[in-house]
Amino acid sequence: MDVALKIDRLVKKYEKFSLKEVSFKIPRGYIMGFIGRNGAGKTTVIKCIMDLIPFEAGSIEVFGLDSRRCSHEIRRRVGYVSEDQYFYENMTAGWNLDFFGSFYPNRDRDLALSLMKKFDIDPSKKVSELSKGMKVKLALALALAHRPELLILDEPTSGLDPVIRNELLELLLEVVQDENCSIFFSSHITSDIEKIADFVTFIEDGRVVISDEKDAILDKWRLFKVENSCSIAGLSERLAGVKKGKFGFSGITDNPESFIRELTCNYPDARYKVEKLSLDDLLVRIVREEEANEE
Amino acid sequence: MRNETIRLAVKDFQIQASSVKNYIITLLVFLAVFLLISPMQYQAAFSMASLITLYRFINSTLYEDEKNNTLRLIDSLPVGRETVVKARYLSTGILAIVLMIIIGAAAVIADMTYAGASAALTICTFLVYIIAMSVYMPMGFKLGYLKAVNINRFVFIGIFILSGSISMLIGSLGTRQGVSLTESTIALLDNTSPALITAVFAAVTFLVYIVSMKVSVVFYKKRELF
Repeated sequence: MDVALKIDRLVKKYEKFSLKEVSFKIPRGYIMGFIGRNGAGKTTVIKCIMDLIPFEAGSIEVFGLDSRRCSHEIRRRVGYVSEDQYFYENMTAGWNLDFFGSFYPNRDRDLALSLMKKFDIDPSKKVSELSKGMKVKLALALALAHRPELLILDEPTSGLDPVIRNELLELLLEVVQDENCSIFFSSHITSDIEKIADFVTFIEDGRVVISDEKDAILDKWRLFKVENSCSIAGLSERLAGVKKGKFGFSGITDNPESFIRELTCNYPDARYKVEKLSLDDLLVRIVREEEANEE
Repeated sequence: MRNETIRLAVKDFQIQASSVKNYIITLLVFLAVFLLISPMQYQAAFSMASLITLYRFINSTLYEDEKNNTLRLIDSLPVGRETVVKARYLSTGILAIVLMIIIGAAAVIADMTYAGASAALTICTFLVYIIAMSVYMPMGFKLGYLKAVNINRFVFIGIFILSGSISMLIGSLGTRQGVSLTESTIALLDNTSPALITAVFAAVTFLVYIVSMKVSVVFYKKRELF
């Protein structure tokens, strides 16, 4: 399998936070959603990929190239949209696109202009006059105008209204029609990722908790709601993100068959419900589990 | 020189294109003020007004990058940090040369009798200020505009006090030895052509400027932008 991005045991240490041996990979031509709550380490991982900050251990390969030794070559082939958009606010959108785009040897000026048109960005408008959504679109036009092989988007939809978010997601799906382009898309808005991602990586407190195909994750993980007739002791160890309630307890597992066997073996009359999980439920439960482990 | 350096240097002028009128007004206002204070010291007035223009240019470019956080975007482009520093020194250098030509010409027009000496004195005074700017710019790259501009106020005062003290010390040492060093220096300068003095001083300033650029590169490479 041709790999666009491969991260292997990445370690980055700050005083109060660290990335703990983060590993995952994205096959070429696919979209990976990078999920985690605010402060989980998503942006730090992206900055390491872009060689914007140094890291202590591990390796990052983009198109098989070492991120630190070949950062210029990688940046030429990658489109990057950061969490906040940084442009010369007193200059026009057209000037900004032209100026920043001119540093990419593969930049296609006609494509840049057509993207601006498609995104309804008035090139003669000053950036300071553009809304947040328009600035994100401008950043996206800049990131796409050199036909990148990998698009790295750091929370591009946060702070946007649902209509613009949806437009943006549709556009990303269009981009990935070109099978040569992969997308690495970080967000804490799990519904966006659920809509477009092929692969999903969950990060919590600097550690990758799950990294797999989205459908496999959604197929594998199940939410169990078990009534009080069964003792939580013993059973809860087989579940993650356990939540105790008045009438019973609930938790998630990636091995539902095994849990059902265990449950029915110990409590033949057990009353329980099995439900499918959304990525959002999964994120909440995983965060809960991580917090419980820390305690 | 690489295209990226030129594009970044041109950008420094482009982002300030709308302020050209303000630059000219500032230059003329300060020139008028300095000439009113001391009409005979027109060389110093020309140099001071040019220094203020140059200082404003450096600060505005640093400020625009800091205000818009554009250094972060530039840092994610296929452009090295060394190129960013070189471009800033290139744009500042171009403006300094243009200002030097203007103030040199203005000095010649102001004093036709001693045109050469007058232009040389004006340019040499301005070169001293470029050396002061060479001290300031690495601070800008290390600390960013806001911190650098505050620290620089004290640095400038320090430089003026230090240079005054050194010249007084040299003068008094020379007098103690029986020969006034200042007088002998003036005699030496009298016998040397103004063009040669200016050329030597310009070469020294250029060297200081290059060293300053190298220091800025080291500082900026280590600076954490994120």
